Amino acid sequence: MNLTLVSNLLEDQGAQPDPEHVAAAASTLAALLKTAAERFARLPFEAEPSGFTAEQRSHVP
Amino acid sequence: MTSDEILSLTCIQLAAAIRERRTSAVAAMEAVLERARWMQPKLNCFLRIDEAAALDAARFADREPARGPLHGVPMAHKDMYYRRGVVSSCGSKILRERPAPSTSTALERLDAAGAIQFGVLNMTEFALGPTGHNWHYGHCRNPWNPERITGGSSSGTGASVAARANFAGLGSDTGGSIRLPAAFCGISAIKPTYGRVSRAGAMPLSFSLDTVGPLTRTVEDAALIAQLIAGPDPKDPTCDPRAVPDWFSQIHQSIGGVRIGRPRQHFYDDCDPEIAAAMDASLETFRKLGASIIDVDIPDIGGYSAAGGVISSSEAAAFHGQWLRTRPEDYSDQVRGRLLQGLAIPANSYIDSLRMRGPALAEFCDLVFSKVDVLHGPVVSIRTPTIAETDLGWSEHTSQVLSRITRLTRPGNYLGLPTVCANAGFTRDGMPIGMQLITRPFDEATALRAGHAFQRVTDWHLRAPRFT
Repeated sequence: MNLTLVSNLLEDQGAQPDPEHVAAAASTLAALLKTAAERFARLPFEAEPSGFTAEQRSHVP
Repeated sequence: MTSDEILSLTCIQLAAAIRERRTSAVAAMEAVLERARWMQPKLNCFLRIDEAAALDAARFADREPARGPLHGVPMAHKDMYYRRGVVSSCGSKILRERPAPSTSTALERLDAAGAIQFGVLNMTEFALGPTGHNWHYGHCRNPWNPERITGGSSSGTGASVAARANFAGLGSDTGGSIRLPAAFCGISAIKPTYGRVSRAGAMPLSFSLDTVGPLTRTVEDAALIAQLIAGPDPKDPTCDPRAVPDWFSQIHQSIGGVRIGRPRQHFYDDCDPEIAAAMDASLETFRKLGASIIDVDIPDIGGYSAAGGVISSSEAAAFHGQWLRTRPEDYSDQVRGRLLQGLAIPANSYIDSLRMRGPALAEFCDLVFSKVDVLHGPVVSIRTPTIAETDLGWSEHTSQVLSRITRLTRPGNYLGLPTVCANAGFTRDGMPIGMQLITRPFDEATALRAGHAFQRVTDWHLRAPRFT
């Protein structure tokens, strides 16, 4: 993620991050979101968060 | 019984000894308090020991009829289980003077079973970190080698139970915080299915992922304690409404015919050879017990970890938003840095991470649990890190170091799967090697049965660290 964007996002919410925290957040989030995005792209249109509980309960032994 | 004899007992054995008047609650409490006092300068596992109140409660227990299956058993818990009016620091500077607003359901149920709480245990600040470090109260140390980490965030629970300074205690698990200290400290534990145990009155970190469970000396103890604390709770709407099966009576059943899966992918990537050898040996033990061992393909767990990370970072940042703005200096550097990153996660990524959980669980169950009953593997694939090499401020490097520790635990939180941990051996330099037994949602019974069967024919769980 863009360092300036991350810094602005944090500051706009009232936080005052150290430059090292901004850099770590930008690189860590970039990696997380890139990895997750590949899976998000395959999500069915209708998928909702409540689907997890329904799926969990369908596996009760 | 001597103090050493008392301290060598499991919770179940001690409760039986008290019930049968072979020892007393007071003798057990005096023994564990003496051990805790002696161990504290070496390991720093306790944040508070409530000696006078605990002895009073033990005296009362000796005069009254047995209240339940843990009558008179001393226990100490991670300092994030609230008792109304009593401070729960949650390992933080911010909450170190705040009286808790309510009593946790898990503690109420342990109280009803007759357990006596004698103290609260060290933990990672706000349960945010897998090493067990705490920069406000001092790092907790591993009883097998004080230079090495305990694992976290339930660091004090892992260290105190392993060091025989506690009979059992509660931990919590959002990304591995029960399983990691159990593995690094060589003890047993269960992370129940998400929703199986009430989170009411426990400090929240990430409400979509947090689970409550015990760390114990044996899987049998873990089964009993999990049985006692699990079940519906109107105070926690995410708690599953169904009654809990009788895990404890099923634990002694044979595992003949149980299918145990050895993952072909991910679990053994860059795995330390001694850890892999211990896993192979444990699979051979299961084979001799009548289980069938099956190599099984598993989905890409990296995507689950990433989505889990998005959820935990977003939810933790929401809980801590106000303090991040008003009291940033009261967090340690690593914890503040980790919390801040959650403020920059796009809302749609958080929601997509939640939307993906159902399909991900379906995919995992279809690929894995259609072929096996239990997925077996190491809790961590690396050797126990030292405290020095993980005592870091927040940076990209720290993020990578911590990710290596949680690589095999975080997916279990995302999928909400129950997992039993047990020690499966030691490295040549004397550090425990943890094994995890993962089952389909709400099938704690099979994981507990497998873990207990393993401990009936092995003695890894009986070994205790030695101190001079």
